[in-house]
Amino acid sequence: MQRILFVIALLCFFVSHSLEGQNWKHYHQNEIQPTYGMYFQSIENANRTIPELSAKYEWEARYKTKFKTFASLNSVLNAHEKQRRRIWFNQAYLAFNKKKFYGKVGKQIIKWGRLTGWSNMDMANVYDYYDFLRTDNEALGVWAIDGKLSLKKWQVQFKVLPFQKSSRLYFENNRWIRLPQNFQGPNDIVFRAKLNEVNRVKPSSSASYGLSLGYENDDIEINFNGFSGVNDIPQRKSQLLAPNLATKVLPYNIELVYHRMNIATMAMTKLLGDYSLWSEVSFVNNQRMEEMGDLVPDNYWGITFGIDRLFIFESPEKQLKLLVQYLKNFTDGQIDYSVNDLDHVLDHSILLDATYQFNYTWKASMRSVLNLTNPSHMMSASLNYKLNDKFRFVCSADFLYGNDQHFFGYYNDNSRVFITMKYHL
Amino acid sequence: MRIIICIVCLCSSALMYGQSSNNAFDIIKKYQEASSIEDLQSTIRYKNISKKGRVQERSLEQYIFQKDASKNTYNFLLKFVSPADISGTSSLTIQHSSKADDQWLYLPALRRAKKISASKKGDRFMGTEMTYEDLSNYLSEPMEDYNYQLEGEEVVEGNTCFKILATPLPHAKSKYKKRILWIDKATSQQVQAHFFNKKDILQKIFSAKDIRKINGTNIYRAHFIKIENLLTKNRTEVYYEDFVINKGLDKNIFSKSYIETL
Repeated sequence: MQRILFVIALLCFFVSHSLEGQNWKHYHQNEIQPTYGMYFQSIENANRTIPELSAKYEWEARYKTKFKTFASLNSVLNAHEKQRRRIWFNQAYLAFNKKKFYGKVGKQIIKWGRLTGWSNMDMANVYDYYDFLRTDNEALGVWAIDGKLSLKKWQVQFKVLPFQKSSRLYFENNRWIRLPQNFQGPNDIVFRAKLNEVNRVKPSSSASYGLSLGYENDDIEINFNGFSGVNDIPQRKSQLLAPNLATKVLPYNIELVYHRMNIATMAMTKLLGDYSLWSEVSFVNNQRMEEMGDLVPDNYWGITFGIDRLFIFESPEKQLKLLVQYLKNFTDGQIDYSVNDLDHVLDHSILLDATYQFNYTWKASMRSVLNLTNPSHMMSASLNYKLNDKFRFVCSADFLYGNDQHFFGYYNDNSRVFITMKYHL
Repeated sequence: MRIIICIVCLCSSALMYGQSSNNAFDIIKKYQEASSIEDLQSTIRYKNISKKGRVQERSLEQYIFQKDASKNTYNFLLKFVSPADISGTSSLTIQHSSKADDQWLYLPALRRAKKISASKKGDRFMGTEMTYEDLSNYLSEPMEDYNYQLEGEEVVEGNTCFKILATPLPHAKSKYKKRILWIDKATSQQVQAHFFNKKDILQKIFSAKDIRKINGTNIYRAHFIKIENLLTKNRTEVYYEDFVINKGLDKNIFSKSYIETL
């Protein structure tokens, strides 16, 4: 598939260039980004540093205002993780409009949530989860047909994803998915655990669908959204194999069980002066795995509300963006979700985002997430220096701490610092 | 005898004033006709230069559609193409004469168009030294909102220009006490303007250069404009290219769905 995409992209590139004129416009940009990260603490069987080099080439060609093609060729070179070393077309799509209909067909990034902050619909977004906290630039493209019909104050949108595309997960030497190191065998013999293979069990239907109906009147926008598809985060169970008594090694397989998930939401946004207020009520029909390995329903309601604003100052260089959000999912109180169950990390939280631009060259941002059920906290801070339009330097740090019954507290040894350079050719 | 002389003087000055007003009105009418558009697209590169010399440079495509000629209202679609940290961002403004404008911002990170609070007349347009009022006035001079008076002729950057004093009428709710416009006699284009704030202090100087015909038309346009704020010491420089004027722009592109898709 990648080769076909490459040939199509190359063809489009030459055709559009040969037709360049007033009706055709095309742009391309390259980004090279070396990153070096370092955890404050070492842990067993995992690397303490993250030396990585990523590159991206984006190309866009547009014919008048009628259609455009867009392709993004990405590559990552990670010094430690072989699975992450790859080159791929993350996006390759054709977008067009005909009167009131707007369509996009091909490999594209789909963001399901319709909120400025976090929405339960965002659980269906697909990412490369090499690092659970750094997903902003890790959204993966999926094959999809996205159509919108705009009728004055109404907007109808549908999405069809014919094939299953799951988030990428890393099982070996990863600091976010920690596999067992040992197993207790008969007669209190301790066996060294050894991962043999990872098997994926897919549901009978792998297509995903989305439907959204939006209404906008003056300063109020209401959206009804539905998602029916595969949860990109699978449930996991281990299968022990025959132990090697001589070496005291116990091999095991991991089975990733993918299952279907349905989400319905009603989101509302209201402008109040310079403030944007938004809220969402959601119902999630998901599944979880019991200790014995059976899938059982995991249904719950969610509610969230938030506020954001852009502050503009007398000096055109200064800007402040603020966002605060409260999230609460009403789950069955009897269920103990695993601390690394990504679908439940934000079950009862407050999220704060702030970005302050000091001037055209310096910018600082901060994100803070506080879990209210098992008090634990994550805080990310970054300082951005723009040397010019080609070079930018970012220094950032993530701090995790609190109750170890929650994700942030459990992974408190994953606090770290990063230095990144972004170079645009 | 003295009374007769006084009456003659008064009548002649009133006549001269009336003629100057009429002349000014005709010049502005000609300027408005020469600069007004039904639709326009172009590529823009602009620089915001702070008083400390820091520079913010951006490139974008602009699409403008005259929504209602009688009410001087427009739809604006701006699509940023560089630098990389802002590329893909779009802004859509639908102006209304009787209520606040509608504005949406498409941010690639959100992957949706977000409605934002309507900009006020005096707000900076996309962080530049040009306000929404300046932009509307530049696109089409709002003749029904101003009183014009011809103040003579002056040469600006080698162009012989009419110098016109524009004073807002009470209903206009302008942020300025007055504007002085220099209209080129040859092309009927505005080559310079001085903006005086409510305290009658010269606040901004607008200058337009590189005025030439758009390919295949008889329409003149400035390809470089500069707006200098004398109070804040910040300035904005705008370079225009690839003008396409009155070629029948598809009005369906001025929609939230369009900026989310293309």
